Amino acid sequence: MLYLLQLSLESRAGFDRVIELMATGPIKLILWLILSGLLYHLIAGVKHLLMDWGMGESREGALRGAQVTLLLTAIAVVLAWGMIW
Amino acid sequence: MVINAPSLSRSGLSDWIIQRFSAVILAAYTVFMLATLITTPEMDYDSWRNFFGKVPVRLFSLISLVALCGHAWVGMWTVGTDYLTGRQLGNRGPLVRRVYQAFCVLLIAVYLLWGVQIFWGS
Repeated sequence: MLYLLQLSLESRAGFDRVIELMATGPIKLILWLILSGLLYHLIAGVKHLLMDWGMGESREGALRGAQVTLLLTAIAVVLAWGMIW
Repeated sequence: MVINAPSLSRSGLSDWIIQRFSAVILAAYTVFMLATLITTPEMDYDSWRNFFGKVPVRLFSLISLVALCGHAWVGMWTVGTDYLTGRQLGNRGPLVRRVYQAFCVLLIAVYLLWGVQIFWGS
C-alpha cells in the first residue's frame, strides 16, 4: 500500500503506473481483501469502544452487538466490492 | 501464563490508552480518506498530488501513521502474549515470542520511517 502511494505521488508516470496496476484483477482482489479486513476491524473496533463505554456488556447486548457488527460488515464489504470493481 | 511481558510502554494501562486513543484517530483518518476517495473519484495526478500537498492532510497522515504504529504494536504484542507462550510452545515459548516481537518492532519501524519519508519528502 505504501509502495503504491509512494509511486503515485512520485511522478506523473508513477501515477499512471498505479492506475494501470489498479486495473488488473489480482491487484483489485488484494485491495478488496485489505479494504474488507479494515472495514471489519473498524466496525468491530467501534463496537469495542462502545463496550468500553459500558454499552452492550450484558449477554443479550453482546449478542446483538456481534450480530450488528457482522451485518454492517457484510454490507460494507459488498459496497467495497462495488467501489473497486 | 505470562509472568512478565514488558511491552516497551510503562504499564498495561498506558497500552490500553494508546490503543483506544490511536483507534479513534485511525477511525477518523479512515473515514476521511474513504469519503475523499468516494466523493472525488476522478482525480488526475495534479489534484492527487496537491491533495497530499496540503499541510492539514499531510499532518493528519503523519499523525495517523504514528497512531498506526502504536496501535499495531499494542495489538501485535497482545497477540504474542496470548498465543506465543509456554502453554502453547513449552519452555521455548517466551523465546519465540521475543523473536516475534523483535520482528514486529522492526517491521513497524520500517513502515514508520518509510511513511514519514513519503509524506515529508513529497
